[in-house]
Amino acid sequence: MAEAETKSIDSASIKMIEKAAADGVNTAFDRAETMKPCPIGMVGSCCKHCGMGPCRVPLPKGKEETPEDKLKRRGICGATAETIAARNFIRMVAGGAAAHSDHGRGVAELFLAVARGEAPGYEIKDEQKLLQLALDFGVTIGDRSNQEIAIDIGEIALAEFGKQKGEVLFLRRAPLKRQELWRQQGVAPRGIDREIVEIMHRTHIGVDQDYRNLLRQGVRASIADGWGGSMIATELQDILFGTPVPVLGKINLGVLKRDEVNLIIHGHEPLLSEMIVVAAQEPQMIELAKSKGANGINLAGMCCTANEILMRHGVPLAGNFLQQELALVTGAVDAMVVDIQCIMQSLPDIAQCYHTKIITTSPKAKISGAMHIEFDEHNAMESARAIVKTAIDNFPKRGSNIDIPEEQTDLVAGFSHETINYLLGGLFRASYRPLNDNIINGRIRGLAGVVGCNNARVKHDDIHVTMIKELIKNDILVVQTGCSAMAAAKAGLMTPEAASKYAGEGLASVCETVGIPPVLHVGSCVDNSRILIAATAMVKDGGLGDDISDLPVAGAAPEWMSEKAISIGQYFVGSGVFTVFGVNWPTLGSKEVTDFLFKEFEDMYGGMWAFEPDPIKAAHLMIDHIDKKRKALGIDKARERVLYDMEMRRELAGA
Amino acid sequence: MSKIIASAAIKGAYKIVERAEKKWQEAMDRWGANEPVGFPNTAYYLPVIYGILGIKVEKLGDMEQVLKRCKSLLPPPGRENCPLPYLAPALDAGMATFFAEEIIEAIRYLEQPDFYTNRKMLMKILSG
Repeated sequence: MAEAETKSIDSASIKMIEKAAADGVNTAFDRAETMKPCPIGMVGSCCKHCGMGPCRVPLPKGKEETPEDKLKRRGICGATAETIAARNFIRMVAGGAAAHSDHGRGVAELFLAVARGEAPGYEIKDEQKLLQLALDFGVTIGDRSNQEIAIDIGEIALAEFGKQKGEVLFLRRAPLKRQELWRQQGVAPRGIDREIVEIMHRTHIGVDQDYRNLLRQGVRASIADGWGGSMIATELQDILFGTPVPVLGKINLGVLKRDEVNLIIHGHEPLLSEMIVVAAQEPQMIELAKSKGANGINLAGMCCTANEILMRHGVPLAGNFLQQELALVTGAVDAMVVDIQCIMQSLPDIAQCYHTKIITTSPKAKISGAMHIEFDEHNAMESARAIVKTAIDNFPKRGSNIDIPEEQTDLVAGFSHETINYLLGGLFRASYRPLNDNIINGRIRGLAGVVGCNNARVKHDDIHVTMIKELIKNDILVVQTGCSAMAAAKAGLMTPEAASKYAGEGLASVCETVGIPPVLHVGSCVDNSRILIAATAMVKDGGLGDDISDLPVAGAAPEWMSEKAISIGQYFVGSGVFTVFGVNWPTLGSKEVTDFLFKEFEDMYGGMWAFEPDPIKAAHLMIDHIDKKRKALGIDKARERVLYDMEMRRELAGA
Repeated sequence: MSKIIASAAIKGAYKIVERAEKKWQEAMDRWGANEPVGFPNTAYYLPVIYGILGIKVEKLGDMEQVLKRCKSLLPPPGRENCPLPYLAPALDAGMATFFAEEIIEAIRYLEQPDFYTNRKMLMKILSG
């Protein structure tokens, strides 16, 4: 009992960790106990980029490094510890940027197929956003049909990935000053794939061996992710599936139902899951479920696919990354369908202990031991029906070893950029003005983006929730995506009532006026691009400087683990945002590289990295940065209000 | 407090839009869709509606689309626990009220063209 409680703050997860132990099931929590992280790899001091290695170049233990020691810290090829740390770091950026961007490419391909009428079942749901994107891409609107416009948009979006020269088009959405800075620093990406490939080239043995130059390419590829691949994914998904609006949802393993077919949708892409949502509501499917003794079909999401279908359909969330195995341990999941990213290979093994069918759907992401029903965009409904039917057919095979924790928490989600804009002024006066005004008058001290993963090396959800509570207590409005958002939601921080309970007086008063939680769910991890757009909207609305780096904002991924998190962090830093990561930091093997990222980046990009595993200390690093920005903007002190008489006005006019 | 105000405002907006619809239906039955409507000495049709929605209300029948717009602006009533954000819906409800009130006022000019000029009537209003 006591041991499970050290692994998570979520009582539903604790119960399932205990049940897993009782059932003899091995989970990530157990594996993290038995296998410690490699201390050399963890700090970026191991290079395995050629057959002469792996070369390990760790810092000397327990003493200061002498110049002689430093000279010895080289790989066989001569690469220094700096080069090795920088190589490893930007390869993580490449991995993350590739993941997000390949997701974006998949969406663009589907979008184009829909526009050409080759993907039955899908349609363009957000016409306004289609036209907005047409303007952004320079596509003629005139009296052309939506379909014609969409074909042009789809072709342009798809071409962004393979573009060889020029600039990624969405860079134009950034504040002008930021665009200029990117050009000056040589980090404006030309095309999305090109920057990722160039990282792979530069980090090959014997190519780029100047850590500063390597890290610059890391920034460039990450911008191609945030302002490229991820943004394309978000924008096109909104057009196809609808831009999220506020929606009431529920989260945690308690959303699983004993008397219904439980089908969990896990992964990151909403392409197939949108169709599964439709298929699960079809009368013939519900009839089939009833014929097998179930009272209905219960869909629940996991990881970012969950965030996508929550935001658009209110489908409940079963949990975040570290709960995927635990959901199976309930014994009540009839099928878990997965698409891409953050899917544990252990799922089919755990499923064998119960009755669950694990169904892979992407040709890019198969798992040995899982069944595969390939998602075919040209025939998506059929794929979706086959999946739902598999879950239904499996319902009668449930064993008796079922225990569904009762925990489930309400949350309000759906805070897209467009929604935030609307919420602050209604349809007729939608704008970011009230947000900026409340930041200027100090009710809201600043904004923090808290995002990222779960990491089995730290207590599940604890770091997220502790940090977020500290931030909102200090009047920082928190915006969230991904698994981090789910951690906060489970802790009840995404209800409007949380404002009076946890937030500082100023933030609570704003939340109460608007009717929002102090912690806003912005979406999935590709939807971090929404935060970039929101930050840009704040700059453009005026009064808070003329670049994202002037804003009193900060970012964090306190339980990060994936390469995607590093890419996200890097594009936030490259966009001018101070960003703190927890757990561990992958360049600690090189003081120079770490200093470059933590200090010199600030002069170059206005944003920089920091590492702090303690969530309270990390929150205060963010608050200090926000206060620094408030001071620079001259909004750190309340201004005296002066009533000008006529004489004073004349003086003003004369000056 | 805000939730209570927003919720009351939304409920009030429903009532006023409903009143406008009823008035309009009665006026349609009495005068028909082609009856001209407007305020005396006003060049901008029903000016709030024209200024904000860009709809030129010249005849009774033109009010139908405004009433439809009013209804589309009315948000669902707020929940007691874990409500969805209410400020923007309340502001939208306020705009619907604005348009509905203007429709009621324009219909008043049909029903009682001398409403504001009839001294007796005015005294009656002022004396409550």
